[in-house]
Amino acid sequence: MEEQLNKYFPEYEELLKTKDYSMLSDSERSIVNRFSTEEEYTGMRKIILANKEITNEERNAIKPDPEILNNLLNTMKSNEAPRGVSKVVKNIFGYRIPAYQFAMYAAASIILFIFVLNREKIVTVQKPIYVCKTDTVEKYIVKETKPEVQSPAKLNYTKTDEPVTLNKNETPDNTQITNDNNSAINILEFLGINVDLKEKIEDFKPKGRTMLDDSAIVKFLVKI
Amino acid sequence: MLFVKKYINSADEELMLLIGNNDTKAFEELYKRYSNKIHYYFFRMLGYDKEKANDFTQDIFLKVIEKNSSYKSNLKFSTWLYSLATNMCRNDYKHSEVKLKHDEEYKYTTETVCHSRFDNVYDNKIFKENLEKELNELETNHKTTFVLRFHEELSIKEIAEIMDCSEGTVKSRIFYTLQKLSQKLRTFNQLKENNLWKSN
Repeated sequence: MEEQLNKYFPEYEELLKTKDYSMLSDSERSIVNRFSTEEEYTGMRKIILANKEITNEERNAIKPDPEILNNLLNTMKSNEAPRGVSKVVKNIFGYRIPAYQFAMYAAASIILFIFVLNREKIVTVQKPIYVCKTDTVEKYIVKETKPEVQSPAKLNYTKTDEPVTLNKNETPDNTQITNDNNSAINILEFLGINVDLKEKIEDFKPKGRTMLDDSAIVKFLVKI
Repeated sequence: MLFVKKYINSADEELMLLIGNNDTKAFEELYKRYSNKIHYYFFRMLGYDKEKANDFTQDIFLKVIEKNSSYKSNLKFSTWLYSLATNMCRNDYKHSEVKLKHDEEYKYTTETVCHSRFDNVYDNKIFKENLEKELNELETNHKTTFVLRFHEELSIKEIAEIMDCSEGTVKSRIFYTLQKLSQKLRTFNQLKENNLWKSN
């Protein structure tokens, strides 16, 4: 019943307001019959219509007292009305300061005085700020290390030549080079240079001056 | 003229914001819109006492001025106003015996009224008197729901918000109130028919 009432009540109420039972169509009558009999429907409709008539009649006759609006507007105006200058001045001079307000004022003055006096002494401690820097170049000098000097006993020796024994009677080969006219050629031959340099050596001799052939050969060899 | 037009076109909720700034024109406009309705609501709910309805109307609009900040703009103004009015009526029922006294004054049966009047000319007025009497005898919640629906013509949703109950409850209250009134006034209808039959 409750569910059906929830579902169909708006339609049912509309029918009550607008139609007599005899004027209902079959579908409308089926809605009405879910909740009430014909007699009940007629009774309810009568109540709604009579009530409407009463309301319309009374609404025109019953009005609020016009003074109500004036009273309310006066209340509003008194709420917003600015106070006169004399009233404000009177309030300022006539205002009584309670003891606790005076005590608070005195305490606040003392605190302010102490603060102003000690203002310079106040040291503000700043917290250290750490900043990473990466632009430093460090130079490392590698110490020179001298090679270890090994003792002769530890050195490895390799045998290259066998010792030769000479007989007393044997005369050694003559290795001396004589300083004669052909000494330069002899030196070159001795060195294994088989070049005819007799003429070229002349080029190395400074003109107008005497110079030994040996010195000229040495210069030549250096040039080579 | 331009300002007056501005107020006429403003929604109730906008006017309420202006009233918060002590705008008297906005208040006048809002009063114009709702004073008759709310006064009649009080008149119906407080036992047809016109003076009392006047006092309550003044009080409720005073609340509109002074308790402006308590109004939440997410709620429809009319719903908020009728909620206030309904609460005022409930408080009045609790704190005074007026309603009971009023009911006592009307404590005469349908039958006696009909019999006493049927000797004279019958008209709809008698039926209306009986209807009003029966309405006053209803339980407060049922009466309030009926008045809000058929006198103030508020929607079921609005009534549910005002009465702080579900829409289903409102629908069933309306239906059972109508049913109850119909049953009570049935005797009257029968008597009327008899009278018509007699007169014919």
